[in-house]
Amino acid sequence: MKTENSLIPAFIRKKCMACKICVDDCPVSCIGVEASGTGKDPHGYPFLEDETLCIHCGQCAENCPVAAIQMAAA
Amino acid sequence: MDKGYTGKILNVNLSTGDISEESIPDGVYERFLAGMGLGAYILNRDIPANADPLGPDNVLGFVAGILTGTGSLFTGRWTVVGKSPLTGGWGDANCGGMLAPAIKRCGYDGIFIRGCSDTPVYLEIKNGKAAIHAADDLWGKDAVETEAILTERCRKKKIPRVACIGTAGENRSLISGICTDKGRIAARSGLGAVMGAKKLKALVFTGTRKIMPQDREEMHRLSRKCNRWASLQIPFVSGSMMGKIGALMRMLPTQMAMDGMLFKIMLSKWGTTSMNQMSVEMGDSPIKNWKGTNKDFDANRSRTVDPDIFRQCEIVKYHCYSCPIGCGGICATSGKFSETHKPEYETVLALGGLCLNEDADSIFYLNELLNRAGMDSISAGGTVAFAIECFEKGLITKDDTDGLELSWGNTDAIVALIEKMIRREGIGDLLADGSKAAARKIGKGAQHFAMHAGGQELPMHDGRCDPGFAVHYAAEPSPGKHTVGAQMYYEMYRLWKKIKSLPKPDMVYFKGRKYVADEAKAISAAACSKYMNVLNGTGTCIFGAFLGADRLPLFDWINAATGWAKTPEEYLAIGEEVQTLRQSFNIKHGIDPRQNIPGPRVTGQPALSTGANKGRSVDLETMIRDYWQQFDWDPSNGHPRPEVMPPPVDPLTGTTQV
Repeated sequence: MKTENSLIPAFIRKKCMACKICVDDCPVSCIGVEASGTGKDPHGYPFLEDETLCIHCGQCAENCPVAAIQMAAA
Repeated sequence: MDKGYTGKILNVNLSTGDISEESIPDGVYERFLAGMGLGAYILNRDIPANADPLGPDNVLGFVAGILTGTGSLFTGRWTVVGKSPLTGGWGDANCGGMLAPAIKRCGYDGIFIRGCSDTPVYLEIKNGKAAIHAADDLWGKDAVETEAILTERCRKKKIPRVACIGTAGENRSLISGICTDKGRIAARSGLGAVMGAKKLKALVFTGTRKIMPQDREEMHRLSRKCNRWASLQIPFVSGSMMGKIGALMRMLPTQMAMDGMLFKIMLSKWGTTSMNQMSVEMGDSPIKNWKGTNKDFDANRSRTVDPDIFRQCEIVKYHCYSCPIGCGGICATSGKFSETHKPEYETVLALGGLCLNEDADSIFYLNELLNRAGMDSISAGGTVAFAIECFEKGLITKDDTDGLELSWGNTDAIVALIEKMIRREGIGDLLADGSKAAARKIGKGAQHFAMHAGGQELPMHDGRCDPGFAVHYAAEPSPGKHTVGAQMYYEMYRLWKKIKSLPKPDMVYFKGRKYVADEAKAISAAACSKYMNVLNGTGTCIFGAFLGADRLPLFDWINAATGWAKTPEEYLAIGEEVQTLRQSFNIKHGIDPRQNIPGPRVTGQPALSTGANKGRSVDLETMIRDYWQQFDWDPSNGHPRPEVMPPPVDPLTGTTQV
């Protein structure tokens, strides 16, 4: 349940490998993958697709191998 | 205790409707790992010797690796195992996407399907529970449509992951596979036909359980270290230069030991299509059903498969689960389909150079068509090339081909033929089970033009260029696969960095050395097989392995995930035991390993008179004997000696029964 102090994942693009571990980890599938890239950076990066679904569990941040997700205030 | 694996499998009998959990003792994992090793243990135990691959006694297993979901990288491969209807022996195929962790999130290391349903069904699995549902409405739909419907139907909170067959599997095509993630496919060994025969349209995984390694901090530390190598990228040449590099490599009398970091850089930029023209030019890719040369598909004709063409169509790079490289891609296409997974090197050359087809649009179209139908593009291309040669030789005529002019490079005929194969229509019905089965029906010496090992069409790597490929095609328990070993692979695996007793290749050597059968090559080939069994037991992608064993901390990851303290040598010993277990499966099922040796054209007997592989022939007979000897199998026939057969497993403890 969302409260005033609930944290949501913030993605640090510079660190992200686009490996989708967080996409799989999310128990409510609120993390999506960008459907298109850019010429310089063509990877499909994860992003918080639907904030209303987020249960603020922090699994994505905990399990990211390269610490590219931080739980932050919404 | 958290140890990376769940310690359970799910057994589902489609004949009776029985669904039951089975606990797997720790000792089994310590002996065989999970993934393919676990599959080899269960299938050896449970499939009777006379089982019909398309009958109820065959067991089809969907297994995830011991490292999948533990915070390791490159460990998103799931494997399907079963008795292959294509080769009659051990069958396995693996695939990436997002399915592998979904299996473990349901609480299982593997799902094993037994029996056959009378009507189409799909299986829904969630957190230790499973249910069989009717699938009459899905039968006849392609893999992408099926996945979309089931994803919508079964979604609760978490998006389900789906493995399914397309129409090729339903039609029991012996060259069909099992699909996931909008057309990625575990294509080899014909296991889609097994699923079709069981009338099992799909498995839907909706589990949400956590996958817990023993030491997550250490897993992450190792992954960050590995990612420093995986993320290293330098500006590289243009796509058109790749063919020129291949031509240069062809002309030089020497070659350098391959460092996988170079391949990683190519993969990151283009994916496997980076090899397209380069392989043709250097003689790595077979041309014109293995009788042609790079001259038949020269730089002018192969310009349509320039890697940059595929890259320009890419909307976004596609990463499988836990992969930092992202060699895949989603491409925009015109025509019937708006997008497709970026065609892989194997697909491009099987439908391209092998048939002398230089039309890239047709390759994009056929790629999507085959993915949706769930038909193996390597075997499809190989079978089409076989049919074209039969037509050329007059063994089949327009009366047999429903009027198709099956000539080399006739794009329209190639497209029409594959469409017929998928529908099992006319000549397509004859060819839908691959070239070996078709040759038997055609007769008149057609078997001389079927390029297969044990019934499985050969991939797009020529053993006359790298004899290591020929050895693994012929001598593996699962023949005709390019994803195990080669001399070049051994160079990239860099196993000698971890296991000092293994030979270190010379940095530069004369090409002629590749063809000399010596002990070092046999040791290297056997090490490739053992290592690949460890990779397949952990769910690790071969492209991760190409970074090198000193850069991919595979053994350290396994120890950190499980809490074991095994040495690299001990892990390779596990790989050796799994290899013997798989070969034992073949012997049990009446396979003569020598029958898997491909025809003389594949080994250059007689040698080609022109082109990149001019004058090259492979002493496969000696190399196979030496290779089997490394496992202490009988070198004359590939049978494991009784003393090296894996001892029985205590069903309660998983330990060896003495």
